[in-house]
Amino acid sequence: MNKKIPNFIFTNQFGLLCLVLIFIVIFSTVTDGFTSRFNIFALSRVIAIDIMIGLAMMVVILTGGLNLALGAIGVCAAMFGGWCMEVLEIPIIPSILLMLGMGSFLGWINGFITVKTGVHSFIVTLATMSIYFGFMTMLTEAEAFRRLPELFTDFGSAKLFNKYISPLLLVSVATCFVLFYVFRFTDIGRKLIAAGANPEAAELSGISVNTMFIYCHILSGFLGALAAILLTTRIGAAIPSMAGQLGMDWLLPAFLAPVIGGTLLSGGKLSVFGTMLGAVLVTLLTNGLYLLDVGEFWIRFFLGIILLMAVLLDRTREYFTLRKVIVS
Amino acid sequence: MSEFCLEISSANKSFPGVKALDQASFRLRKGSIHALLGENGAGKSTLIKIITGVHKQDSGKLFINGKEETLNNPNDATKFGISVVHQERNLIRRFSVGENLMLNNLPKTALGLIDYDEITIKSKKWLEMMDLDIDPKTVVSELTVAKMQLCEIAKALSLRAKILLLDEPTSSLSPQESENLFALLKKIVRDEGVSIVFVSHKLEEVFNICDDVTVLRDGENACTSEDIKNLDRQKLVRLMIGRDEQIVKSARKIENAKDIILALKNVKTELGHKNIDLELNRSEIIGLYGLVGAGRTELMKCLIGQDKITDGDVIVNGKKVTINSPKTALEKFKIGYISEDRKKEGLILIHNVLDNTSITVWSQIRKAFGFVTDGMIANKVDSYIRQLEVKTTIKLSVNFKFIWR
Repeated sequence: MNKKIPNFIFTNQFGLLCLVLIFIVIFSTVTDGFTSRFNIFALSRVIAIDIMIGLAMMVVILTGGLNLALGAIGVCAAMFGGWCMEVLEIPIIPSILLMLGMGSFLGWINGFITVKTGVHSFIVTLATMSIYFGFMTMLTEAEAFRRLPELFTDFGSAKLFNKYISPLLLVSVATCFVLFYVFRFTDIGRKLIAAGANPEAAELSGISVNTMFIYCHILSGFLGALAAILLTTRIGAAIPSMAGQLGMDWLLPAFLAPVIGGTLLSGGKLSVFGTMLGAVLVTLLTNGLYLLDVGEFWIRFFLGIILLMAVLLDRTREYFTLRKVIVS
Repeated sequence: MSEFCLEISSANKSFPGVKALDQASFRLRKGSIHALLGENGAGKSTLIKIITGVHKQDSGKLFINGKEETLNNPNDATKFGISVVHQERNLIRRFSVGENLMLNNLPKTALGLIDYDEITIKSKKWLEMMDLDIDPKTVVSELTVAKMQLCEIAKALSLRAKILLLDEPTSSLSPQESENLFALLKKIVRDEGVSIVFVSHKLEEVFNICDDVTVLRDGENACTSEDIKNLDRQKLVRLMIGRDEQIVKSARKIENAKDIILALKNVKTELGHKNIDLELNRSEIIGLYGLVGAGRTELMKCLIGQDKITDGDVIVNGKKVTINSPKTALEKFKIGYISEDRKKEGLILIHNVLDNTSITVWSQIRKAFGFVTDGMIANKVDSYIRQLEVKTTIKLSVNFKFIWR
């Protein structure tokens, strides 16, 4: 009898899934309260936001670039939404659409400048990060919007499934499925990936690479705004420092999730569910270490080490993907 | 000491899905010029990469001066005096000729700073040895392509290279420049005791300067280190392609001799073409001839809208048109471009065969909401993949595995 091992056993995602399960087992045995209803609920809210941040960075890494302004875009969208709801008293749904529009617009600016100048997105988004954040602070005078509609903040504290899971997680998982569909089953998704993998070849094959890259940046801004919406409903207010100075607190989780998940830093290969699992893994680790009374700074230390290891993995992965195909 | 300065015996090298070298052997006599021939994909590049330490053979032995050696990386090869002159030149264009020549061995002053006078003196010595009249202070980018190539050979010699690999050195040279190169190669073989491996597609050159010939076909030896005197052109071609050479008489006939589907009139481009005229009839094949650097590729890229045509007319099917991007060229006018640079501009190496072959048709076969599956794609491109005998390990159109992306 020739039993065939299913292919997905050998994928990066399966490895990640095993790691996640191993950590769940470890943390639930060595810590108190890891499996408590309260902790799982808290975890699900954090995971939801980390997944979204990871996806937002992933779609720009796809182009071989990066988006340092992601956090700044998120905070700008949140503050804009807070202003819309609190000062202009615009209803929730239109406000959310406006926030998403704001995120997309700021992403478009990143993409437009990157494509038109040919400067690497590292420099462009480093500049826009400062510009967006500075502009936002100036307009809001660093004041938070704390009187948001109750319905809006209720969503962030709502509990589903016997009060274990936050609806925020459902939004993130649904977003994963939509992105998976786009990248796997649509022509535009395939074109985005092709443009990221080899811009010259894609261009000569009739793909408008510049347009594709701008789409990626718009999508990144959109997802960044979505992450900001989730975060705003979670903390119940739009606060300028919600993502740290210049929005930089988002950057570590933003890079960790996709890079651990198998998205190639040089572009052209991504994994939506890998990013999801990457975010889950990172959040689990952080949470578990907190419960073990490991200090905040040590956790940052560990996350940095993990990012470096993931990048190393990325290099070897790139080496092997290329080696497999260079024949002549 | 052995009479061979480099010997490879029964080397095998496989890549996933392809056996690049199958028991390939090769012997380079000291002080000889050895031609390495074969069609594209016959394994020449792989063999060269093994000799230069880029790849390691799966099995088989490599002898240098009669001693078995292992080359783990290109540095090892350099240590044994093996140097390769690539089609793509390995010079730093913004540096001077002298700096390039001395790059691996820069002379220093007492203070540890670079001694530029010494660079000039030392590099002059190598240039003079090759009868090259180039000022070492010239910046490389100002040289002609032929001179750059000669500089690169000078650089290889300055590294005490005893085995020199030349990969299609004449592809960018004019006949006169090629003659000069050959004279020089003969000189360094005679005076410096260098042995040369010469890869070329031009058989006249091979008969002109080579002593021995090795021919590869599908990764196997069609002949190993044969004396060129025992071969003639016809025999050589038979070895390369495995059958007699047939001049294909064109069976196509142009029904309507004046059915011009594409014409360029007095075209000027931003890349410097001037007054270009061209007429292409239906079912016709037109060859664009010229040396590397003459602007053939560039003209085609302007035609498909990658670079701009600044003046003159482009006429497709009798109508004057403007093509502003490869996308327009392909989708609106059905003009496709296939690059000579397969790895950089042609293929997406990290994607599979299916994605690569179908990249141009995704927009055509999509359904509502841009829906496209691998199955739909396979149906579309499968027959072409078969017709063109693309060697692939993927089974197409049968039972597609759900691939996580």
